[in-house]
Amino acid sequence: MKIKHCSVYRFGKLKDKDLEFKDGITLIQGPNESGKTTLHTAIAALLFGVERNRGRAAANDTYKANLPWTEPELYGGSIDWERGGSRIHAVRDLAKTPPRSFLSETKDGRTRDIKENEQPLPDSLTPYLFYNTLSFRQMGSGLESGMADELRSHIINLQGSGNESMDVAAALADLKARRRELQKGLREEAEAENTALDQELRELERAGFQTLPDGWSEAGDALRRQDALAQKMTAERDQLTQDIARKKKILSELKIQDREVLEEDCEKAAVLTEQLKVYEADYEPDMPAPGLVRALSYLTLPFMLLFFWQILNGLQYRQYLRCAIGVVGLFVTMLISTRYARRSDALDAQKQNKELLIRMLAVYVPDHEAQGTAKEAEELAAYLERIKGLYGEIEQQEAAREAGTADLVEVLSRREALSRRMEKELSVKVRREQWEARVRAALDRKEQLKPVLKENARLKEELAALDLARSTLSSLATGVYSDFGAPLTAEASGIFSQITGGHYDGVRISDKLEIFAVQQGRLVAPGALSGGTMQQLYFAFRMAIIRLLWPDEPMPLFFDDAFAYYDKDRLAALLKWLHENYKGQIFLFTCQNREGELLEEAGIPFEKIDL
Amino acid sequence: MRFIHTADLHLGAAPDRDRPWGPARADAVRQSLPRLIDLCNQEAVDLLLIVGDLFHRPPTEAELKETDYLFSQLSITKVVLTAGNHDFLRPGCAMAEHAFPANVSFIASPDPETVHFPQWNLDVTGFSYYAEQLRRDLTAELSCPQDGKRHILMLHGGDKDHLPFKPSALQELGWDYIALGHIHRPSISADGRAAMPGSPEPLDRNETGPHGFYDGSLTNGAFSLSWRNFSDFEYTDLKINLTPEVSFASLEALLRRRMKNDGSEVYRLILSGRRDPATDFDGEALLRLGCISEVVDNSQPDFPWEEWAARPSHDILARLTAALTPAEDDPEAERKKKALVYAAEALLSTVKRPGGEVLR
Repeated sequence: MKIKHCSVYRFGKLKDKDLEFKDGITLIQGPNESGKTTLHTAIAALLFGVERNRGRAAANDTYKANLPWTEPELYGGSIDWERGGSRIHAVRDLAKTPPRSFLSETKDGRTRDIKENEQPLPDSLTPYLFYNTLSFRQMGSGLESGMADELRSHIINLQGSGNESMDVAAALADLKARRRELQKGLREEAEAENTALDQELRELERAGFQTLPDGWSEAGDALRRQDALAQKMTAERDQLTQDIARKKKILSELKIQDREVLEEDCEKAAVLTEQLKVYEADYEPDMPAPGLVRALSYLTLPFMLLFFWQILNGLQYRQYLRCAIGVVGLFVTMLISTRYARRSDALDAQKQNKELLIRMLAVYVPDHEAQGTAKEAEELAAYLERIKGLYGEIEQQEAAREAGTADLVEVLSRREALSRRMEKELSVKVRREQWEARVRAALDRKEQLKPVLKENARLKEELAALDLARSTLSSLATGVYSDFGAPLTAEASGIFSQITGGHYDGVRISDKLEIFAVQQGRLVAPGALSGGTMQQLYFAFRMAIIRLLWPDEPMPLFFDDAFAYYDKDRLAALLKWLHENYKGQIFLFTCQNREGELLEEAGIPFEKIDL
Repeated sequence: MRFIHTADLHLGAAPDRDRPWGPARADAVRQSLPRLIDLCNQEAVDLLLIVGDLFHRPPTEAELKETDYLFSQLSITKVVLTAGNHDFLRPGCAMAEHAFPANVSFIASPDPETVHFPQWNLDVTGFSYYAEQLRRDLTAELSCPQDGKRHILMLHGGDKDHLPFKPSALQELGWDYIALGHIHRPSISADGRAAMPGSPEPLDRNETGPHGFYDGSLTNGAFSLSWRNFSDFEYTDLKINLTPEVSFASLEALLRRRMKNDGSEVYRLILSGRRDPATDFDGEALLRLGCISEVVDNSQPDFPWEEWAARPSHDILARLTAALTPAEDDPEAERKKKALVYAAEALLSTVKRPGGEVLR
């Protein structure tokens, strides 16, 4: 392919440039800001056309960057190139939206329009390839660590058929970063916890809980019955104890020393009651004065004596009355005398009785002002009888209490046994409840973990996919090299050796796409190379790639101030190598006279265009 | 005789507990029994069959006390209850030891036992689980007695770990009605003599569709059955087919239009189709829309796969596509598809377009 002619109407600062190109070397010289790089860009734009990007991407795109400074309606130009005996004429009207192109082919004196689906440029020559192979812009000072990486990725990309430039190393790094990001979401501890929970559940299930004995609830009922009984019995017992205490207190307050005294007093009181009652009934109401009774009895005495005398003298009729009177008198006297004697005794007894009663009352009822009456005696007797009854009651109650205590002890011991049984049963129940609580807690926790585990599983699948993507991409990249790398390395080695004047033997590319220079059989890493040598290495690969990509068709090369960092000798060697080894057109854009002088010195023919 | 056939109430379950609607779901599950009981009272239902898994876990005495109260509120309804694989019995456990109210017949036996209802000339046979799994096929032991009575069989199970049975085998057993439980999705046999009511409330986001119970009657010795919706909530799959033109905002707007946001539906969003590779369909943001339980993204970035595959074999994208396009029966098909997307996205993220930045 040869570029024959280029006509720039308006393109950036360029205006009405009409340039003819010849074979061999063309030196395009001009000071800074004269439009060398713009011309370089314009040639590419005219060759490939320009696509307008949209939106944000449009800000710095080729189209926008090179809008004409004047007369934008003339934005564009035309270019002519020759391939295999035909000449292609391409007109690019960039002022239109979208930009328009008119392509025609002249072959054997005939001209025809080129249809849109025809490809007039060499196979696989894309803008991307143009910029990354044929077009050499000013190279960096070398030594930049990225250069080897970029080269590596370009080895892969350069055989691509698309317009994309892809960086496998960067893609792998991107995948690695995504993996790290995904990995963060993974909660491994949830897996561990879930496994531990499963283990716990298995163990719980194996251990089980002790089965409750039959009738455990009956034991509970019995226990409750015994409890109630014991409570009732205790209450009764307490009641008895209280009663007994109360009664004993009464007795002690009465200052009764012992029961026998009380019983005697009780009997005495009964006797006193009887005697006082008799006395009061017999004597008290109509008791005559004792003097009268005595006088009356003395009065009857003469009659009595008379009666006795008459009896001794025999009874006569007229004496009957006196006799009767005598008998009556005797009787009355006897009666009165007897009665008097008795009354005298009764009075004595009565006196004693009253004294006794008053003494007794003073003991038992000290507050009472005693009269010594039968009524008092009767009340005392009843009172003492009641007190005497207390002893009986106490005795009875104490006996009852004793019996109750024995019963209670029995009930309590029964309760104790039941309680022990119940406790055992309850502890089984408690164990069961604890067991159930643990099972449920474990199951609940497992349920909570479920979404986490699901998310983990999803993430793991994503991670596996990412790993597969990485390993696939990595092995593909290596595979690409193994197809393409060997001839490339061979080609580049030859060029590198030549342009370094044999200083280096060649280059090697490792399985991992690492590039090394070879010097006396040793591998030298790019980091250890000088900037200039790195530039040469890079140039060697570029040229090797060009040769491999278009082995049969010499393509035009563009060097846009590419040799700023080359010293004079190295540049001379490179120009010499190009002249001797490269058959295509070579365009050298430069702002210096150095290239022209060196070419002249070496006797290399060239065309010169001043901008 | 009117009866209600339900199962799998799973009292105590809390679906979607980590989502905003979780508490409402837990309430709905808890309310399902009192609501059923109210319904039985209002409609004078004679018999309530609960075929296993009344409880989500083997119940405690406290939980049984709650259900005792509820059952005691039934005016005329008799209940027949069995334990399923979730509330399975252990000898001596609270449910096995429990004395249910008189109107509840709890069949606690692991072997089929029959409850007699002479008033309806009806026998109900069932059994309870004593393990989380019951892998033996009981169908051989479950033939229907021929005694002139009507017979219902309560059967909890139907998958490989829980009483595996073939529907056809069930038909041959000769029961008048087989009340099934365990599977949470309603279904009914072709002849209508065996039915799975599903759970009255959906218990998992996978349990899409309506939830309810079977409402049956036994009239003159003949059974009839009808389906009744019970839950006023539904899990729904929302399928959206993406195209490269769809933006995230338009997807959000579409979802807002399509989704009922009144708490009656919760959606599982299933994205398919081809999405714009440059658009970030942020699943987390979609989940925050309010009633989406899960975003299943089956969509593919709209890369020109066919064009890549047709490229010369040395092209890296062609190689990548070839290496990661799964064969038809590839067990790793899904992983390969994902890996292809990952690798393509990573590669394309490094692309420098022509006219843009170039190599030095």
